[in-house]
Amino acid sequence: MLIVSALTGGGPGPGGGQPDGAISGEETSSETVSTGPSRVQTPEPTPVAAIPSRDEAFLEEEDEVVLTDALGGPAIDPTVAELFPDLARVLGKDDILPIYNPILVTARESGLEDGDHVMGLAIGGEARAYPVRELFSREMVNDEVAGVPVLVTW
Amino acid sequence: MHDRRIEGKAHVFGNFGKLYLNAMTWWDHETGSVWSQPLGRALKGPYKGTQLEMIPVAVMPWASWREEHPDTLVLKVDTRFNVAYDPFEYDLDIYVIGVSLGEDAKAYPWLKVSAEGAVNDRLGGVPLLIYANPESRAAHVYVRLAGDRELEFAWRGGALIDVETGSTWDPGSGRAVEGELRGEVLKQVPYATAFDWAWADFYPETAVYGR
Repeated sequence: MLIVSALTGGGPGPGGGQPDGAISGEETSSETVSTGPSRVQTPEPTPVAAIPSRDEAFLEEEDEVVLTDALGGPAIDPTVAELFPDLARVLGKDDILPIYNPILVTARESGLEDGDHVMGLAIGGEARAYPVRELFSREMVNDEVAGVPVLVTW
Repeated sequence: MHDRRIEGKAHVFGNFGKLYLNAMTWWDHETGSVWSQPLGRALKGPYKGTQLEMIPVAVMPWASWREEHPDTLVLKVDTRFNVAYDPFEYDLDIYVIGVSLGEDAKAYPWLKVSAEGAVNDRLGGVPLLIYANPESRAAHVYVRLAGDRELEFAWRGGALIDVETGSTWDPGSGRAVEGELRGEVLKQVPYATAFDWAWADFYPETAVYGR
């Protein structure tokens, strides 16, 4: 596992409030990546604003930025959902696989029912409908509409 | 919905998997920067602070969209991945139509807008029309200007009309289809359909229409 700390650690970033030096000795240990203490949040009631939430904690972590083969990403690991029901959505990159090469069909071919919800986009004289149930399953679509590269997310 | 271009170059985005303020994050394949979905902005990495341009979309039943756009293409549904889900199984009263313009953010409760049919408001100095149809469940936000002329809209007799000229407007495309202003097109404004609490997480200073 390659940890590229240069992207997020290193020099004093713009507006960075915390010096990086104090923890730099620990950053090379790959064991700390997934079990770092910043991920553990005790349900301390006060002071609310001062405690970074679980959601924000990952912003302080070093990330693995190895660009794996996104198209061949793994399926959702069932053990994650079983062991950590409230963290079930905190997954790895592309565990919920985005659509990188959308297949488009006509309205007639779509097989959609009148009441199915779609996210609709109309630009440059072209229109696209993204069925919500597909967006719910895949969450992201990299598409191009009328020459505009668009990112559809749910 | 966002434009994937950064300084003119298209980027490819994946699912980062972690949550920021209870909402999804992305990673871009070029640099691995981490992006917040509702903000459309990079939170960390080389692109930190970079903002993607938001594109207006509408969520509505297929029948309503097909009627507005008969030539639409459709993303093919891949049933291998499908999960049974009805996004509108929740009560509409916790949904807002969220608009963010520059420094200003405002949440328009879905039910309130659809009850009024057409809401005329102003955000950050921009005159806005917020439209939501309780039957088609379509929602749209427009700048209510025809050229330099500011218009006020009303929902009357099942049609969207402007009070100044009585012209009839198509709520789906923002185009005047009948009357003096026929052919004029209103500029669309991007909005987010969100749970009210989720909108407030990202825009703590948000104003709320009717409150």
